[in-house]
Amino acid sequence: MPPFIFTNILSLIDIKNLIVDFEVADADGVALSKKRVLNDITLSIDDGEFVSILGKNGSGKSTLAKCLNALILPTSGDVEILGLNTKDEKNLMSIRQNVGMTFQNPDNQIVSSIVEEDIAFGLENLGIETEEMKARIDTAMRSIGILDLRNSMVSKLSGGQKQKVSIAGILAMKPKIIVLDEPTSMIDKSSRVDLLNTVKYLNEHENITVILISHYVEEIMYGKRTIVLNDGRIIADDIPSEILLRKDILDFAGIDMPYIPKLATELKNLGKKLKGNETKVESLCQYLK
Amino acid sequence: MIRDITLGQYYNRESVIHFLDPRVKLVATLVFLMSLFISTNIFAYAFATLFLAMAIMLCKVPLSFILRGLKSLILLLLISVVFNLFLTPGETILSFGILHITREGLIIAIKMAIRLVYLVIGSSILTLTTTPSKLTDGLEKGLSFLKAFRVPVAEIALMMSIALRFIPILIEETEKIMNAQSSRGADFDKGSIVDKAKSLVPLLVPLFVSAFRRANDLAIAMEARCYSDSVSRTKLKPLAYKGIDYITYVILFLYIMLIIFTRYIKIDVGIM
Ligand SMILES: Nc1ncnc2c1ncn2[C@@H]1O[C@H](COP(=O)(O)OP(=O)(O)O)[C@@H](O)[C@H]1O
Ligand SMILES: [Mg+2]
Repeated sequence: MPPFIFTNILSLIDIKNLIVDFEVADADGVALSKKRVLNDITLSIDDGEFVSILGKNGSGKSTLAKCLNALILPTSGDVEILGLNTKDEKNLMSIRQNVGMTFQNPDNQIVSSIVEEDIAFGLENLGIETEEMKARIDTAMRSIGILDLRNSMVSKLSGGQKQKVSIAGILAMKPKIIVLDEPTSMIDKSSRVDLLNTVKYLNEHENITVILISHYVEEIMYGKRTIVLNDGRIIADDIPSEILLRKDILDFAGIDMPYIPKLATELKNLGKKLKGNETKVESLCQYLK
Repeated sequence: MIRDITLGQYYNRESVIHFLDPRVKLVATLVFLMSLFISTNIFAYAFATLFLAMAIMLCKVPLSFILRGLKSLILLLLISVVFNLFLTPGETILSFGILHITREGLIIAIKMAIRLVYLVIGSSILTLTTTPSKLTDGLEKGLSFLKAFRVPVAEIALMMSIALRFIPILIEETEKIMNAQSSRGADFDKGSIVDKAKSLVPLLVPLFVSAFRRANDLAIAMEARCYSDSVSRTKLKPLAYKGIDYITYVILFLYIMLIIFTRYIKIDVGIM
């Protein structure tokens, strides 16, 4: 048997001491001052992970996301995707192809009036040939479950459907990572579950690394790892069921606890011996006798 | 009410005209408009009418739909007809006090009316049978020779298609803002012109703010999907001429030759 050769195994995403400052105008609109939006972030994410990033509005989630595909460059520190530094201009296209990103407002990220044509937009930018393009659009729409929308007018779709079209649009570019910036914040409740299940499917069956940004704490259960941001710093990085029970962290970050963990904490306070990882109704019921 | 504005409204049908390459349809519309303006006698107008009637029949769009575009033009039509009718000097055939209708005025007014109506019908057929994206594709490819003169044809075409994508969104937003302002007592229909203009300010300001925010969001989303003005883009639906397109070009050529030919027919019948 030939010996195994260990080359330098890189994480998919490697962030080191990332600092981002924005220049903001003062109230009088004249003087510029610096505002630190991301403060010394060090983080690595491996292939196939499903990471949720949680934090209240203004905590720096979107800024962090935009650092991942070089929409924002570090003030200091480094962001490396597949070993490619985002500061290097020549990596730009390769990084953006590998890190697909969707945004909060479903309308403001769709370029074409027809679904199929919008999904093609990224592929057209990459210079993919027409036949290959059609095949990739087919595959992407099938994975997302929107084959029936191919020729629909975008203006006739629901918010949830538009988010799915956006995800299909980046999926067709064959990214290794998809970053979804609050995909559910502007869509109705029933489409949320549907959308997140689709994302989970992509992670589990198509080996796509997912970074899901959210300010709804109940959504972190879809992932396997949760990072909590507050004021530009990482204040927690753990499995979701642990995070849900950390009332101190959620309080500190100003995030409301969902009902079940809240109940679990209350029960614990009442002197019941809980394992401490209960996040489902069933697992709590046994303590209620 | 705002929704009634028909802007590039596509009417989906399976017809030869729908099937034609958008470049051919753009050229056809141009040729037809040109033919209207070089038509001088009744023969030319007869051929133009025949040409238009053929197009109307072939495109399978209901006539009522095609004529809808005329509604917004009635006022313009009336004004130009009345002006020409009364203000053209020449041989008087009818008088109302100080107003005189002249023979020359009548002829010019009739020609003007026919030209305007045909012009609107002709371009309506273009937009009714061609999707906005096909239309911009057609313009992009048809005008690609302008790239040699550093005209950013591809970028302009993309801008047009984005504008078409966002028109319904902005219309909806305008209605929302109008409703919100109306419920607070704003009235967009009453008062003098100055009052009306004033009442538009609280409508336009939020609309512009929102439009700029959307534009900024979209620019970021496009960059995230590898858009940059330096890449050469491929197309999902590249345009390619088919047999029918070449045939149509030949027909168009024959048509315009025919119209030009009518200029050399000497006639002395009727008023034309
Ligand atoms: N382009 C910008 N210029 C100046 N300040 C910005 C800019 N973008 C975001 N900010 C500020 O940075 C902070 C973090 O914003 P953001 O990353 O959008 O937070 P989140 O996505 O968690 O709501 C906010 O205080 C915001 O006002
Ligand atoms: Mg955000």
